[in-house]
Amino acid sequence: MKTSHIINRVNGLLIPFLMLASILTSCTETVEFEFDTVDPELVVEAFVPESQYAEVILSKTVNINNQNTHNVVTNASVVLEDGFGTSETLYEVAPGRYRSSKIKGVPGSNYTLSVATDENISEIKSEDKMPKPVFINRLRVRKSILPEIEQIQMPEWEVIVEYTDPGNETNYYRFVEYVNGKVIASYVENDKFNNGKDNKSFLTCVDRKLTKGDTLTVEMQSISKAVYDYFYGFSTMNNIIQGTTNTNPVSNISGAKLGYFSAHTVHRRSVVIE
Amino acid sequence: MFLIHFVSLLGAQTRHTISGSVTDIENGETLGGATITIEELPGTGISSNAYGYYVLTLPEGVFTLKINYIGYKTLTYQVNNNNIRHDFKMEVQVTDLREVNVFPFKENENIVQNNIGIEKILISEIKDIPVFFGEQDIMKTVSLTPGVTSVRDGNGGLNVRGGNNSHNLVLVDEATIYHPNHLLGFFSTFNSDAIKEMTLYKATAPASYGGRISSVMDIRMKDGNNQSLEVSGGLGLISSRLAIEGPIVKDRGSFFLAGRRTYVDMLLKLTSDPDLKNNTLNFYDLNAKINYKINEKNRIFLSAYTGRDAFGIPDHFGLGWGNRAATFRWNHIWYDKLFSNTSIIYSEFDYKVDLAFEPSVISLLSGIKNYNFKHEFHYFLNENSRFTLGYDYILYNITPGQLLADENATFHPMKIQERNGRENAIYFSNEFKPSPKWIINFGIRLNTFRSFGPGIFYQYKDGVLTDSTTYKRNEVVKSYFTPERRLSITHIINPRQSLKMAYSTNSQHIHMVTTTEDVSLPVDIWIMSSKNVKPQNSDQISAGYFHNIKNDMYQFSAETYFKWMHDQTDFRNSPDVMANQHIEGELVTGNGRSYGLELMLKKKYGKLNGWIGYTLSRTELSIPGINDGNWYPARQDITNDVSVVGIYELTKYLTMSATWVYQTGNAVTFPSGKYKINDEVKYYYNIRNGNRMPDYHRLDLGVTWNFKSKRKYKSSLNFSVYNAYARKNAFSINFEEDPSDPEKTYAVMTYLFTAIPSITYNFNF
Repeated sequence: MKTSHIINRVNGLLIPFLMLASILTSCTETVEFEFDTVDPELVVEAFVPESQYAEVILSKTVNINNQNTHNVVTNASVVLEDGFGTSETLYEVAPGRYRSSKIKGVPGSNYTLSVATDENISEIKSEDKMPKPVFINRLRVRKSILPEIEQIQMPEWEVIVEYTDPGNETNYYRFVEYVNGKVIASYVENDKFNNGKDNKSFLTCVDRKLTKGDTLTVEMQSISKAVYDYFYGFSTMNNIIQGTTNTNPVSNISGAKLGYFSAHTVHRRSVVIE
Repeated sequence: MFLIHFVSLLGAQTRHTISGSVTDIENGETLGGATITIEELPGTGISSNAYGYYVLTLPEGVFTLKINYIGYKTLTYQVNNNNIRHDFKMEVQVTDLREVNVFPFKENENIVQNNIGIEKILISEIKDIPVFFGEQDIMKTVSLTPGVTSVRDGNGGLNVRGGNNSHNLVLVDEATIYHPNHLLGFFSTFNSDAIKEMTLYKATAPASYGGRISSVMDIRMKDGNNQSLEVSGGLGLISSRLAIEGPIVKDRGSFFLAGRRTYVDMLLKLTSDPDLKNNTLNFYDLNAKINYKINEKNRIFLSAYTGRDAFGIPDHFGLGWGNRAATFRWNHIWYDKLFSNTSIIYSEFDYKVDLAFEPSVISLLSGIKNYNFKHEFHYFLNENSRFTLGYDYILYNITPGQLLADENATFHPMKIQERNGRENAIYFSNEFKPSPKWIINFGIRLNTFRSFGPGIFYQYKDGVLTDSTTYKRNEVVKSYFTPERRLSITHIINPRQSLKMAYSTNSQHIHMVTTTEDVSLPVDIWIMSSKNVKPQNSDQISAGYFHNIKNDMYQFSAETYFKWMHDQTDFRNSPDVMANQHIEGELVTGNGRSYGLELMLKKKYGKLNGWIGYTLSRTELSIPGINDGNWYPARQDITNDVSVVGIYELTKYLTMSATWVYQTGNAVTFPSGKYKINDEVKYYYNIRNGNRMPDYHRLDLGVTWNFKSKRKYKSSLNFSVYNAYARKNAFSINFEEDPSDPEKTYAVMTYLFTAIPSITYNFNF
């Protein structure tokens, strides 16, 4: 599964390069590889969705050849504070999974997170502000009109999200795509080139498989710049064009190298494939 | 030392001067770098300048001159107490005479010239080296010499002594070529039919050159045959070439015209796939040159180059990029000892991407251009001393990015502000021989770079905008003064052995930042020195030992260097690079260093000739925020690099050749852990460039069959196999989850080529 994508607007300008590269490339094979082993690093995934309880997932990295990615961090102290003066310690609902019972996400509000674990000495803190909501006007799915080219994986389907970008502010969006309730990809986009326009965003996951009767759901989130930068980090041109410098995305959490803290809006739409 | 030098000038007695030009007798091409030695005065000698002009001052007496140029018969000429002008017309060495025992005595020119860190490649020398897809390529050949590497397949960029691609100054008849690659770097922009020679300066370039911190690749186009009309060309599988040259006025002027075009897309037309059929994928090059000798004292040249790549899928994408360059030159001989060249140069590079998006098409374009005026004097004081004085003025204009979109598009058109800069340099150098055993060349280049308005100029601190100021047209925004020093010393131990050393500093004001280092895509962004971006600087010291064995048949050299590179720019993590006005805020600055040992053994003559080159080197970077600021291997850090080139003349008609390269895998970053975000597996990267790609090696083979010439008509057939033993050299290694078991990860290697055979028919009449 490909990870998050940048929506193919201006970044879609890269597609010709990719195709050009692919015309000349194409041969692949699996190779034996010796992976490094390093000390596990803490991963913080924290989000406050609009009108929902906040959730924080704490885990640690595992070695690449570990069968199990589930390396949870339990018994941590996770404290969340909202912009209205409410502060609460999140309750560990499942190993490594902490949830609020008072604080729910509200657009425009500021949230502060602090985490303390047994092992991490440094203070782990983050702050994020939930932007104003923007809604999906229309969600379309159609067979791709992109040409088929031998040996190049092109999206079989095109998923088009239409929405109206507010003109008076800089907006950052994240789209999470689900098929039958399961996350298959996520995308980020900003309005640098189309501020205030009626937009059509093409979700360009190349390996989504859809069959008749499947339900495709897109969740549109308004996110902060820091969260945009974080997800953009998974999908810069460096990553699109294979093999160049790989780096960890820049986290908006101080004291932790990996992960993010996002207070985001939520608007979902679904279509059933015909 | 200087004192001795000037004293020797004062002591000059009655002297006679002989001057003129060195040319090929057959076609009138000027021969720059031909050596002229005096038999009666061992250790003295000079070489012709880039325009073939030479001046020799001799004391009273009768002397025998020997004129040498590689691949040509040695000329002998007697002078006798006269001030004369004489043009030497040299004859090509016929192949049959390349037998060891009949080969004439050579003058060990590589020993006695002050040329450490210099590789000169003549097109005529490399014609038998195996080729890729039938295209002879001078840039590919130069990467077979020590100190020059190309990282993996499909990357046209050359790394010279640890520098990156943008640190090379690539000149065609003095005009800068900003993106010297076609088709993702598989071909260079230099059509071998149009090129005479290339000189690569990897250590200390003469003071006339400036502007890049790693190397100068000075490529000279053919002047054109001024004796008779000549047509040459080649027919290949994916491209063809044609060149026409001839006299305008015999002996005085000639023209040259060459074209090359690939037709991969014509092959696509043959496919049955309707989607592929109408795609565009091609490139072309056009070179043109005329030169005219007005009289003995004045000669003018006009050269032009244009080349463009096109790639497109109808109604979806279009991508085009290209270079354009033109040079006007005027050689003037003021009097026999004073030669000048005046050049007016234009060069440009641009790219444009079109993307069809419902309901309209948007385009992104970007470009850089410069106008250049260069005026240079060569003063030949005597056979032991030569001066160069020059002035170089360059005006730069950069269009960093412009987005074109119509009214109803979902995009707003936008334009990143253009940037203007001017570079002024005066330079001076002197090469002199304090004794027959020593050659010293020292030079200085005083460089001033100014960036100019109009526009709003920003300042950033740690990537955050702190200040913006509006400047009017021609108002100076920022000015940098960067003096550059050049020094090279050669000590001739005996005619077969010499020691050489060099020191130089260089500065660079035009910076290229790229996100696509692994494939040579024209989406590079050019920026100039500004309030935020300091000029890049380098210091390099090098030393070498040169030894010729067996009458100059074997040439051995060992060179070692240390290079410091200051104020290197790179993108911070996850930069916003597309049409970003604040691109300078996305940059981080650090330092680089490179050091190494280069060994080369050449066999110059005989049925079997070629060379073995070996480089042991290290290139490291230190950038705040990456690997805690510690030194770490740069992407182009290649520890061991071996090149073997062999050309064997089986018979008069049949030549076989082979090249083999071996490189340590370059430094890359592979994941060292994994974790989940949003239920998707992500990779954790621990140390930047802490891993290595698999080693790269490749064998290329070639056979050239020269057909019997019929009158003037000569032709040959060349078969080549690129990557003959089909080594799967890794282009990239990616990590994927096992589809049947998402918790498991395996490494997937992509490689570009297995064995690629090609055939080309070349002709000349």
